[in-house]
Amino acid sequence: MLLGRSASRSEVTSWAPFILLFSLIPPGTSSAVADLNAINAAEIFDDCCRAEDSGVYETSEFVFFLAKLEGIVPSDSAHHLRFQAMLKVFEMLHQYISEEQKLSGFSFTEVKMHVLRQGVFGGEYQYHVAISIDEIMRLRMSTYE
Amino acid sequence: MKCQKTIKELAVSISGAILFCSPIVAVAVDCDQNSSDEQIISHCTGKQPSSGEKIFVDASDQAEGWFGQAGRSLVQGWNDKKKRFLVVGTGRFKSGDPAFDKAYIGARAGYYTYALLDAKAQIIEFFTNTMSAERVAQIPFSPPRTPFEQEIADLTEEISNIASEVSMLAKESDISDLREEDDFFSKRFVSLLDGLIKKVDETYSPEELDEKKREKLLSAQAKFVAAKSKHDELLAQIGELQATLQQESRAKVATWARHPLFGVTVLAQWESWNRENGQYEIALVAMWSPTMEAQVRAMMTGEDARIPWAEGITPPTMAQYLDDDWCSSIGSRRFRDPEGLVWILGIAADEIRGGGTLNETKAQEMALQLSRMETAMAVFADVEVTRQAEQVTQTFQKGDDATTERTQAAQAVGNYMREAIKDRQVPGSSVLKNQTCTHPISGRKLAVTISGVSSKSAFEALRLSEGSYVTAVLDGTHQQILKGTQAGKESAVAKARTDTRPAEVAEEAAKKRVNEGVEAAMGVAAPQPAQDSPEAVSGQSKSGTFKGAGQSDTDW
Repeated sequence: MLLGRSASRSEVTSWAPFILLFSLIPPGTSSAVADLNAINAAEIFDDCCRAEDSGVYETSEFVFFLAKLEGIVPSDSAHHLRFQAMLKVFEMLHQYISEEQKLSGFSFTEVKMHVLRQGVFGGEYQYHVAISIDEIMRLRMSTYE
Repeated sequence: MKCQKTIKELAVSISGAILFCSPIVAVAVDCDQNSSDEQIISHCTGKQPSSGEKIFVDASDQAEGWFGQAGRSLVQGWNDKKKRFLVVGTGRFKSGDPAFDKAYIGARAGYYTYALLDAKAQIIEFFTNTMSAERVAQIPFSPPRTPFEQEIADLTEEISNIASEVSMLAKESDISDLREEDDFFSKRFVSLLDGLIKKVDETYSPEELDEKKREKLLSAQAKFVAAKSKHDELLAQIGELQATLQQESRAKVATWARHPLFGVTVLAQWESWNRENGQYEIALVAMWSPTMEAQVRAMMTGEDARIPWAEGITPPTMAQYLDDDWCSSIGSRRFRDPEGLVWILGIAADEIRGGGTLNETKAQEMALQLSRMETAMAVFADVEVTRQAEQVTQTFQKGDDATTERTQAAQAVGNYMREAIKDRQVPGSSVLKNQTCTHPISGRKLAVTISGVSSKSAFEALRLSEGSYVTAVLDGTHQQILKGTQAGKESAVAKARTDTRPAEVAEEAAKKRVNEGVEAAMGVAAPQPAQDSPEAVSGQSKSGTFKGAGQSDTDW
């Protein structure tokens, strides 16, 4: 009887890694696309815009928004600096999207972006964002609908 | 480890550098395997002091300086050449004196967690960040009605009633100079009212003015004066507080990111405490790369994913790497052993409060559990971050006076960061080192535990785990067989006890024997008795021998 069960052992042994593999890797782990897009954006940014000043920079695949806060002091809260920089990016995005048509109040909902850099570098707070051209198109469409 | 050697050498041979690196702060440096003495010295001397001057270099300065060390061209963010993402995370809290601060140990661990989550949040915000934002500007059409305004409305009505009453009385007495268009709140009205009262007094006579009317007039005047006084006071208060809001703008920004994150490890970590302002700071450099992600995936699936060393390099062994003072280390690290196996290490500490082995055991147990958590979180964690901020700007002005214009702004900022693992296993995690040491900043005695996992240990754990499962399956099978055998025996007994066929056969046999005896006695031949058939029947027990699982030989 024991010999008869050895086949079961090999079955368990051969299937176990696959069972464990599927049980260990969480659902929604297909993050490769997001990762690749982010890496792609970062590579393009390195070539075109890393050394640039505050402003908006266009490429064929991404639009980069660079916000830099100068004259910061060590006592400035990192949270508030980040918020100020986020607001600055938001303002740039607002102007970029609405350049053909002046709008008063403005809102964006769920804009997908890659934050390439955030933090204090060389005495200034930097917040660099990449938004894909597709996402910019979506924003323009939803703004003027 | 090379870097720790560097620190020791620095302490001996370049003690001056260490001294001005940490004049009033203990600095714990834990560099990666590529750090060199020169790099550390260069970093420490990054801020050149004048002779005798002491410069405070806090943890975040150290972290920023780490990127610019000699021989390195590191940048924060994605490095295309190295294919990795480096980021700095920081955590700060106030501690009057870590040696006496009761909350210090908990705060240190908590703010380390914050620093690491901050770093992980930046990594997932790199992958995908979702922003929602809104900006609204308005000139208030109708400011909210306050209790002041409600009161002033009530008083206005009251004054109006009193004024009507006064006016009516004046007309009836034909002593009034009031006109319909007179504003009851004007100075003219007040002076007219005063004149009216005076005239009443002067012209008083029982024939010309009814006494009751005069009393009513005086009462109305008193009420009017009191109501108007309160009315003026409230108007002044409202003018100061609210009625001058001219313009308001609001801006809201919220970002959200969530991502499963594999293989984020800490490359370097620092702690600092500034006695002057009580600021305790923890800073770390964390790294994510596709290579590390592949490594931890290999750990989870038991693949061999070793990274061979280049020829000519003599890498440190695990024992050499661990042979150091880990008292100022916390969190996760990565280590590549001489075989090229990549290890994820989790380091945690707990204070040994008081003496005795029991307290030490308790601290070690806590450190062990936390170190396992650090290992697991470095291997995999589902990370989520939400950031929210709102800014309101209001411009006020008193009346039409433009010189009184003033603007106020208020900000509210909030962060929510979370990492979690749920129902997930990290196979092969084992304790690599236990250490009792003294924390350099607080002077507290700590129990430190380092746990670790590599793709090989994970694979072996999986294999052992599979073996255990196979044994368990076989054991289960044999247990079932034994159970069936026992059930069969019991069933056979029960059946035998209730089976009436043997009794019937015996009865028949007995009858026959008796009859045969009778017949023999009577000289008549007796018939043969029927044979019992023991044939097995489906659903009933079957005879045989079975060997149960879990049996042991006697030769070991």
